[in-house]
Amino acid sequence: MEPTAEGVLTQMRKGVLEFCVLAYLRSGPAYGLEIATELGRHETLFTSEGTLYPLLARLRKQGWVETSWQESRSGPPRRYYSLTDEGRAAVRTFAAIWTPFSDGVDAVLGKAS
Amino acid sequence: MPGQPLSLVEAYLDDLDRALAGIDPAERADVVASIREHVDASLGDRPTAADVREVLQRLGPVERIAREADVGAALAASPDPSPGASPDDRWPRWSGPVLLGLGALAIALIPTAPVAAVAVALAAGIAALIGVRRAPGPTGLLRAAAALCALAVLLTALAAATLLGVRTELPSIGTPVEVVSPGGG
Repeated sequence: MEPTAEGVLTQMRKGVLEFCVLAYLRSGPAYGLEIATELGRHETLFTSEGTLYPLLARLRKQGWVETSWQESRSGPPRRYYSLTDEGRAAVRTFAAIWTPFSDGVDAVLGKAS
Repeated sequence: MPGQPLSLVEAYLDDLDRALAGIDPAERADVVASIREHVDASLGDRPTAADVREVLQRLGPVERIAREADVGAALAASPDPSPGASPDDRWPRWSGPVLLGLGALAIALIPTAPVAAVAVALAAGIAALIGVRRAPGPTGLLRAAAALCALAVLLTALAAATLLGVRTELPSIGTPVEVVSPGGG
């Protein structure tokens, strides 16, 4: 059975997307819609914005992200997500290993073709 | 009809809540509430039905969100079954039958090796009692094993008492009691 591009992406996102969320939060706290919109620009990262929220809930449970309420100029207060120290360390670890990892994949793909 | 587009939102959130029925209740409430916020923040004051549909479409099917939550729960639950995690998970399931067997062995040993019988019965009995407290699932076999071991100890004690009773009638062995009585008189 030949896998679809979407099927392969779903597999690849599993270990990566959460670090993309953490990486985005390095620049400062953000609310859900903002994260979804920014990461949603990259079509390979998200197909459904809704999947961001179970992921955020998990990151919070894991202690990598924390939430706080902030007033918004329009409408009710918003839930902002920000990195904890542990979360920051997790992105660092991911970033350090990502380049050798993707180099490895590139090299193998180059060889195979 | 301002209420109509928003009823689409409510229907979507209800579906989502039902789809998340399998996950941790606090996480479920968290996900539903944050998606409600996402929708509120996306829609202006007077959204049209088309606006609402677009926002919901971008959020994606509720099943897909639920799947992400399930996958996350599985990932969070599985990675390290560290030894300190939970004593319950470490209590072996075979302990019930094995301890029951040891209890039977203890009873079988009483006539030939009563000391060994008591030792085996005590060890297996204590293990079975600890097991009753800790083991996951049914503990019927462990309770039976504990009872059997108690019976083994009791039988050995009875046998010993009987034997001693028999021996006290022999002059050479039944001394302790008889040594005391002359001293008292």
